[in-house]
Amino acid sequence: MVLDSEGLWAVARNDSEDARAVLAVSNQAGVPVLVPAAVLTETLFGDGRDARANQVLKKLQVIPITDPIARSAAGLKRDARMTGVAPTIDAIVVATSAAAGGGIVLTSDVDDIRALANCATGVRIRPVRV
Amino acid sequence: MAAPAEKKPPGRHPRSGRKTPSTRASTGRSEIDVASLPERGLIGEIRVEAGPAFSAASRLRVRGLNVLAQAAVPEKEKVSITLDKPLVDEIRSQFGGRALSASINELLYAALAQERLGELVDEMEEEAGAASPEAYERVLAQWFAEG
Repeated sequence: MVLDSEGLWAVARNDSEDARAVLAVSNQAGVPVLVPAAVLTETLFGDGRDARANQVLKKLQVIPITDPIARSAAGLKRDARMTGVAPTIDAIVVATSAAAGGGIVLTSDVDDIRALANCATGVRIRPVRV
Repeated sequence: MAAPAEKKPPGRHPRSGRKTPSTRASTGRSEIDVASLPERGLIGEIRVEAGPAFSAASRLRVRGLNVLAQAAVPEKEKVSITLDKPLVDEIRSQFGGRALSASINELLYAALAQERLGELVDEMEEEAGAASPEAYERVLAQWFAEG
């Protein structure tokens, strides 16, 4: 299970019942919960406002952007006909999920994640709205 | 490490002892009848049976994505431990020709990551309560959505 920026904030704020349900199911089923490092750039402020997110991040697995993940993300953007910087982190999120063998992405941006996920071959990735 | 796990009482969290959803995975089925969830009682009684959709953990390990296991090379400590032979045989089989120490190291990282996730879920539920059956239904419907 991969968190995008809104997914991470939903977990950090703990104001989403659906986010709690996703984490509980992941925990019970032994599914690892991953946060691509690029999401931190989008999510964090770099100051004291990050305290809550930092607490949560201690309990999750932050995944670095490796060369294969970065290249996979570029390919997903191309195949989904997305250009520019805006969809880059979404593409990294989906590429990270694909590298982990698929699963779900906890996100508020279901449409873009689904469009990218549909371009990932050989894996099943589903967006779950938070 | 290899001692048989004690059977946990149903619906109780192993750490807190609080009532928790008994949602869990098995390898028997890959589909879940989401529509039937409310009929199957309280969320504490719901058992999720899932296969491939929940199998990312092993693939993650195999693909070496366990960042904790590969981030910087930590200092090593040589320890002597005794494990059950069938367990050692299975680990050797699962990890092919890899060094046994590296394989067990990686498995322990994965186990610790899962333990931390359990702590996070406990903390979130203590703060805001467990998710409702309806929330589980919404989430699982999307998790297992076709197309």
